[in-house]
Amino acid sequence: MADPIIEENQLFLDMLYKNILLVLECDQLNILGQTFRPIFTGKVVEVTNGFITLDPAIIKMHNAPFYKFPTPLSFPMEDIALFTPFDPNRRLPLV
Amino acid sequence: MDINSLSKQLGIEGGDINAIRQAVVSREFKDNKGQRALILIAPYPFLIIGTIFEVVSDYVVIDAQVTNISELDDERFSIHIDDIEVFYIQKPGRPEIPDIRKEHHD
Amino acid sequence: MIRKFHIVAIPIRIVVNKFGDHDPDGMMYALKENESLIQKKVQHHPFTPVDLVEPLVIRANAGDDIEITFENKLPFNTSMHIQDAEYEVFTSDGAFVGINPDTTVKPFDKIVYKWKVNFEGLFFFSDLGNPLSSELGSNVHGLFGALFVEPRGSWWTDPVTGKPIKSGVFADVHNPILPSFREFGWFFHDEMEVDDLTGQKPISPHTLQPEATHAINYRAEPMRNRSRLIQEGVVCPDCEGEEVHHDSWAFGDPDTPILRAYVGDPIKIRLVHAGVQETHAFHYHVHQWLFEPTDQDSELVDAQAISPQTHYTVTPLYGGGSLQGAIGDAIIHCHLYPHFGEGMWGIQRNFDTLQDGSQCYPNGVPIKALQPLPGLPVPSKPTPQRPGFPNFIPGIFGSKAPRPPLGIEGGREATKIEKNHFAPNARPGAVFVNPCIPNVTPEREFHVVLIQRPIIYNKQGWQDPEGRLYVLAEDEEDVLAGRKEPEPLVIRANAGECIRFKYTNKLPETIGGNAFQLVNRTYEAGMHVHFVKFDPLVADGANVGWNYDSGVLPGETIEYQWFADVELKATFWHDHLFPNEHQQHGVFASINIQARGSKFLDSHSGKEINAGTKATITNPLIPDFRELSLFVQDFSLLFDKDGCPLNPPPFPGSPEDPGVMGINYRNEPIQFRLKEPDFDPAYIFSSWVHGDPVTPMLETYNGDPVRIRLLQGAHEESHSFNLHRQRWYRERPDLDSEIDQQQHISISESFTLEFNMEGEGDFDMLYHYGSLDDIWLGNWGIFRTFEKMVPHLIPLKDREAPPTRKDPLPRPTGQKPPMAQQPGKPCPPNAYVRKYDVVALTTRINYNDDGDHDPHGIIFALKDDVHDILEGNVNPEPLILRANVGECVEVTLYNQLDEDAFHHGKEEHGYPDVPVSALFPPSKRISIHAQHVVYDVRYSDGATVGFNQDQTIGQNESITYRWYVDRDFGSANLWDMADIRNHRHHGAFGMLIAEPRGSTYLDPMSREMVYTGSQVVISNPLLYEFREFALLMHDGVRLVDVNGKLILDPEPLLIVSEEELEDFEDQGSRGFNYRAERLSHRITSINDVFKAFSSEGEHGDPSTPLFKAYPGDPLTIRFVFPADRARAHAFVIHGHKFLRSQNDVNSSIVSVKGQNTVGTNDDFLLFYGAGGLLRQPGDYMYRSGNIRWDIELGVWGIIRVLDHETELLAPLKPHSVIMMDQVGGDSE
Repeated sequence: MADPIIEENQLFLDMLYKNILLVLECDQLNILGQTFRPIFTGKVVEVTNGFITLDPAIIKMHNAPFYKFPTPLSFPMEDIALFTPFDPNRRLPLV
Repeated sequence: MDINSLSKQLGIEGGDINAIRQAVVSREFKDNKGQRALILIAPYPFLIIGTIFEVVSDYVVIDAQVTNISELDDERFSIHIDDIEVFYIQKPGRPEIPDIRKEHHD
Repeated sequence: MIRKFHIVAIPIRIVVNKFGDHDPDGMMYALKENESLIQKKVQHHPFTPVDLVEPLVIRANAGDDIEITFENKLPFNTSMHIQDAEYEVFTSDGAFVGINPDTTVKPFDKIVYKWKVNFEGLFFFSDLGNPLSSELGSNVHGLFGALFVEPRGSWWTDPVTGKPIKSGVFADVHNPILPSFREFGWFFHDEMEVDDLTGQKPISPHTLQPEATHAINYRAEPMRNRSRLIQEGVVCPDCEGEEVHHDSWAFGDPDTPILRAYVGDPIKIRLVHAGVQETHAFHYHVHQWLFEPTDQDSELVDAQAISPQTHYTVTPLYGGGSLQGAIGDAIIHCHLYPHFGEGMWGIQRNFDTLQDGSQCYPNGVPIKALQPLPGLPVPSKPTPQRPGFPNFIPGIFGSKAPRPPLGIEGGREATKIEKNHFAPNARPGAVFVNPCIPNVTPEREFHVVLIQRPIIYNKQGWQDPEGRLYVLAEDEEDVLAGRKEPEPLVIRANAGECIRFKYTNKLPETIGGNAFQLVNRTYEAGMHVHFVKFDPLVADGANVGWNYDSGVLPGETIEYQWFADVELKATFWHDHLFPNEHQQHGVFASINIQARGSKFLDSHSGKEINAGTKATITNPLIPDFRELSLFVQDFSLLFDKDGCPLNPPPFPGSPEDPGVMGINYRNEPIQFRLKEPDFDPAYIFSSWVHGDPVTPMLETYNGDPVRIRLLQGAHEESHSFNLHRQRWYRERPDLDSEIDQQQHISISESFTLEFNMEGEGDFDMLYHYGSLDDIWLGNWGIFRTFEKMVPHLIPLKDREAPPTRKDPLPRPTGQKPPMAQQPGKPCPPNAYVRKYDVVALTTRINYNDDGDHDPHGIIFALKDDVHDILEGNVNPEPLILRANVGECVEVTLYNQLDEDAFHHGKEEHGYPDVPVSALFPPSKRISIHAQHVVYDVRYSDGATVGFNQDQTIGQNESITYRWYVDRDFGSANLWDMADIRNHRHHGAFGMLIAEPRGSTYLDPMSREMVYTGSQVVISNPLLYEFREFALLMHDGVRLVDVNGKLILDPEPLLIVSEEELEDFEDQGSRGFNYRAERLSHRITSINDVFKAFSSEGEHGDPSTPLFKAYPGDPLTIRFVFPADRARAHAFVIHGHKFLRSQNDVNSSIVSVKGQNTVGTNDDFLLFYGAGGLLRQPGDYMYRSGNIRWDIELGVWGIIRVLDHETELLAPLKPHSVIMMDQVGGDSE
């Protein structure tokens, strides 16, 4: 955490304290049998040189697209497929 | 800090940004041994909640409390850190990872 | 954790609605602690529904152990048999099967069942102590329930009080790391023996005839009761009936389930068919869900066929109100209109304001509190200015729902309170929610008109004098004048577009007044659409609950708006005001939502078009394709050219399968395609002899990408689309889904069959709708593809143009086509060739040891086995052929049919009969058509179709078919295509199985190589050895008993049947593999029913295949359904589970497969092998899930998992042993 952010990760630092939409590479994830495409929104509260953290972390589950996960969530940068600044209240088709 | 000095600090040859990012995630787990962590991976068993035991190269060893599969609770898993899609480490003062094995009646 | 329940089966009066309709002999499972309370309440409220009288739902979490103390208080043995759970078959099967101990419970006794559940979902349980089909049985009276299994760590509360609950069909389910959701149990059940208040069979006030009742959760809200209130002038005196059947303004809320949520609440509907007979169609307005809830690549559906004892979890996308966040009532119903009318519907209600119990509905009925789900924003409290749904709608209780604001031309002004609820971007047709952004979302406009004109269905003059159809306003004159052929309206739009409609109702005020229908007013109609996003309050094209009535009167015009959020398939739309009266006359249509940037061209002229069932779709980024929309229909109320009704019902307005069938307002009945002098059915599909059929001709060039949009427009039956040679992914977006050539469809479902037209030369492929009933009535057609250019079909622009044609196209000659002279060359040159000599012969088939037999069997057999069969040494089984992937199969077929052995010659066939029967002499020719394999359609299709050459053979002739097994398709049907009417139900079918490369097929006892058989060991050098059990489920069989007396099935057990013969689709006997272990031979009294499946005593094991395995042996069940009728069946296996899509590890884990019908082919790779996870020896039943009538008629058998080695079954060998054997010189 103490490390300053290197230039190559500046694009993540630019998102700090902003709301973003974030999508991971994998096809689907699974929490206790509930599957979902890895699409998240939320505010970036932490940027390191390896991962970023969203708090709140909203999982866009297909049946509950505004589900706020009970903890913040961190995402290794290497698994992120895309991100963009995003109003977390916007409704998105998910299929 | 520039990429080269961070590489050096992490013990990585030649400023490979991908390697650096992975190393920083590994370090995060290493720095938080003994804490509870929640990990989502795409492969089976998808969800692992447990205590970080140690980090061995790019694997994190977790003493699992809970997974999606009850038969795998309480196993010690070595998880390839590069396959971790999402994680949360419960550091002091941060929100608690709920225990799904508790009885809930609220 | 162990959860314990004490459950008791009790007799109970079940009142299904507040009109007093009831089942006096109801039966239910109840928690012991509720038993006396339930009985007391029912005693005090004998004429109204009692809340606690509902199907029992108990809950547990994944990973839990469940211990049930089950107590029986019914006068016969009962049980609880659970699906999908792990249990010991000797102690907890809830049945008395084979050599197992009895785990049913005698009256006033108890048992303890132990189950273990490992995954989330619905685990259905039902009684197998008394599975009789009639009212003597228990299931039809309600003896079923379910265990709902939640994610680990979950708990559940009452939606009204927020307090924890122990049982109940509705609950709010909570979990520490998952969103809370509303859980609604939805039990469809049919054929309940319901009486009216006076104890008589309910009478329809419209037809004055008795009427059936179809129910949900022991409740039904049939139209008949509500209509009577109109007739008596109590409510809505100007109304007719159907248009207000679901209107809470007129009648208050129904007694059927109302699933309450706040907009955006996550919802899971646990849907199960707990009934006995019909395959229903579950449809949920406004919402869509994934076909496989655990697979994000899965197909989106909003209607789903469901057979008895099958289940789904329906998880609507985006929660209550869908993506657009719509408030209001979304009706949920069985889309089979007669069932809908007979009570099978409920409502999912989405509130926008907080319900704390202090509010009332407009009729003064208090609105029960609804706890907001934790973690979601609490809805705002209602205020006088903003009371929220439904209290802002200016309706009058007792009158029909008001018309929506804005949309109707010349309509009323909106009230101030209505305006307070308007969306900020409100427009006509999208008032309270509008997902389109003005000036941003691209728009497309249509003016649709609903008109009536006669429609002629075929060249013989079969006609619907009251044809009703949607047309574009610009085509109205041409269609009315006959310049444009009537067809179902198919319009198109692109994903991301806002589609705006003006819709004008130009129908006459009434319909009917003939043999099919009494005169009925149909003065109101609308456009109800599926899949796209809209405001259901004003654009549902329906009249539901407390919503507005969004239909319009004749002459009126209304605006609707639909938003196509993503690319969709063919999106069905139809009228929702009088569909039971006129949808079967043609009131159905589709909007096909294409990929963004697509253009829609006429395939003939290349010009852009606004409508049409056929089109060429071009797109700059994806391959251009041919789009062909097919609407199958039944209950088509047609008259012949002389004005006589075709298959009229017993009385006008009867829902007993009246009329005929069609495709896109056309049919080609095969009875008209017999030609002198031979009248040979082998040529009914031949265009040489008869010209092309009038049904839709589908046309492409070889190699063209194709999307068939498969829909059912009307009205009540299952249909089974089959296409020769081409194959598609069952779920188009999921490349892990199964590849198939057949699709079951029920009304309102929609499927896209996408493929690339494979093949060489010009050739014709048959498409048909499977069942005898369908094909007989003309539901078949031709898919024609060209190698070279033809003037009437534009080439696809992104493909190389087809070569110029020099020879003319073929024309009908009236003569039989010449024989195909060679089998074609579908195989790679180095492929191993596997040859089979197959003989078609006539022979007696014994269906059981009690003398029931088909004296006129027509079967396929290996040449080497013919002698033994004809000598009577071997009772034939259906032919089962196997080949390995990568092999070339050459089947040489010899025709040894003996025409003297046919069951009829010059007279009509009779039972099992068909609608509009006619003389149809049996063909002496025969053929074999195979599903799934690759072959040259010109030579090895086994059918004589279109302008293809003859591929059937006459007596004493032979033909060789050549097929390439290019992939691991598993099971495939084999059929004769020379005579669907007379051969198939006598056994002219078989099965082809594709095995893994390098496999050998071994006898399970001797381990010697075998060439056929339903029970073999498949040995492979790289894979595990497995046991393969092959089952062919079939119906429509004509059996005689031991005395030669014709058996008229379905023949219910232990009662005298009320009806002489059932509907055509149910006529005939049924079985597995030419065997039927009819319960009539095993039991004589109701007290013995529980013993029917037991091998103890004189009956011994059933005559259906007895499959044997050792615990843990890998098992694969190969399953096909080759014949014969339209009725769909469920296949159930006890104690074992499989993936619903065998190649997709994300697909659902199930132990039952529904919607099995002609053409079904499937493979069940059983989890954990024989004996399941617990590897328990014992007898595991496989059977039909259709309690009415399959089980009684013998559609059941046993998989026996042996506890010790016997010489009757060689153990499977691990590789090490096989290799040792080989080293030792055993050269298998």
